Amino acid sequence: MIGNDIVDLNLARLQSNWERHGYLQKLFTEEEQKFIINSNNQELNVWLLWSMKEAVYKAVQRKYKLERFYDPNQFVCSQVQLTPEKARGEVSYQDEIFKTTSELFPDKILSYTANSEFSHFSEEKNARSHLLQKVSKHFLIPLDSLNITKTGQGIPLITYHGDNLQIPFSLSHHGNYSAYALSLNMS
Amino acid sequence: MKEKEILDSLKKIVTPYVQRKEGLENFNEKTDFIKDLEVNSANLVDVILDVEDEFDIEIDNDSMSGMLTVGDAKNIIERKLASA
Repeated sequence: MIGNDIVDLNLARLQSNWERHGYLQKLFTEEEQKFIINSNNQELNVWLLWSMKEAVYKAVQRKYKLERFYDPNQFVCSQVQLTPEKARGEVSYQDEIFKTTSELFPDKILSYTANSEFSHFSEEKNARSHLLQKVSKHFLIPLDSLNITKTGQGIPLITYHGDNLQIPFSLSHHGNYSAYALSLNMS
Repeated sequence: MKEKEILDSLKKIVTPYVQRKEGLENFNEKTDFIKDLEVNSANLVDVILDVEDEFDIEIDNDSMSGMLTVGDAKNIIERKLASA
């Protein structure tokens, strides 16, 4: 299943003080905290690991149709391989391991589960319409009969005349950016 | 501590992180931190840390996991205060 997450680093800097006492302990396991503290770009790694967890949380929630929950420490990041522009890693949830890819920019981080066929971000809040255009073209469905609705658990669905198309995708927005991740070949 | 005092103090704690201020107008137990108040998920931790400081309690991961609404938070605070 697919999940993604985008972090606007400028907004994150305004919204969150990750150096606050107790903050890292609530979000990260001891191993993850060590990884962050020992890295030479702590801020980047805080938000990298956070976005990996969020992306996998969304994938898991969709896969198992879970009610929303908030337990970042249940999502454990490991095997993080960093290059200047990309990071790959794994996030385990219970007994399952999800591989993730992250794109690193000076002002944002975009993470998505590795089974995403398409990942897109935009400098505006229009990822939803981009996503629907992509689906419309792929399935030759008129754009105006496609819609995005949410289940009671808050999981978004793409619908065609109200019917769930069962397309695995994920949406994220933060600050100036919005993003989607999508797979068209799996159901 | 009375319910109303807990709710008032929760409202004060959460206000700096609220991105949808209209959500505060009808602040009650059903108010959802993320859906109604649009608190950023990374800021939920700040709410939790502020609650811990304000009430002098510790919120473990299990309790945190279910803290989605004001009512959830109130119940957790009451439970922790009772067992303190």
